[in-house]
Amino acid sequence: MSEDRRKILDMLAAGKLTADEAERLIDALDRPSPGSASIEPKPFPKFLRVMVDALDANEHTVVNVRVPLQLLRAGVKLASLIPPEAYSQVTEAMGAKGIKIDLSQLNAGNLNDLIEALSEMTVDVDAEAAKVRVFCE
Amino acid sequence: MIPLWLAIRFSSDRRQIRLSLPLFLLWLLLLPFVLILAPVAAIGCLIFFKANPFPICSALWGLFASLRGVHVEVHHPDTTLLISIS
Repeated sequence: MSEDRRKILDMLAAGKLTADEAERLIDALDRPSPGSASIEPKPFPKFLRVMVDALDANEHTVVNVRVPLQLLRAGVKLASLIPPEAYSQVTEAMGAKGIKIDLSQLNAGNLNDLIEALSEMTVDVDAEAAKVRVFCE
Repeated sequence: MIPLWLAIRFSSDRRQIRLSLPLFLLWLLLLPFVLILAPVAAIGCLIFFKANPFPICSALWGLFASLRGVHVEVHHPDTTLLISIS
């Protein structure tokens, strides 16, 4: 029994409160306060969304892309099948194309951290020529 | 869950393409071939690549199943493209 509830019952027993008042106070205790409403866990994002609205030479282009985050996990799982001895060759080949990613560092743990960080990420670019929004939903 | 429906719409000044493909029917049609070829592919994987086929199949299946929900939409004054996998 909580301390506040105990105090209310003691006051009721001591005759300082009527039964109605005690009941209302106990109900108020049970009701969550507006400031600290029950915090529901934020649902895990399922999609990465990229929205681009560009105006180029009076041509209006709208791009809307939605990609499941599960695809990232599947890609990492597939990358983990690459034999370790091939990692350096693949990393070198990708580096030559300008993609500087070390595949040996890519694992499920890092990906979970990345997805968790992505869930909080929102990129909002509002320029004259284009508006870009990147977020997870 | 595996993708069940593919919708592609492409329109430009010169042509228009609208395709709505019930993928679930396609999977049903391909299922017998997959069942027959899967053991052959697994044995080939073991013999020629000396690799365990099960993790590869699992990873490919995961990649395939996660395609559900992909949505690409591009609107340009002359061209419109929509690809949706659901």
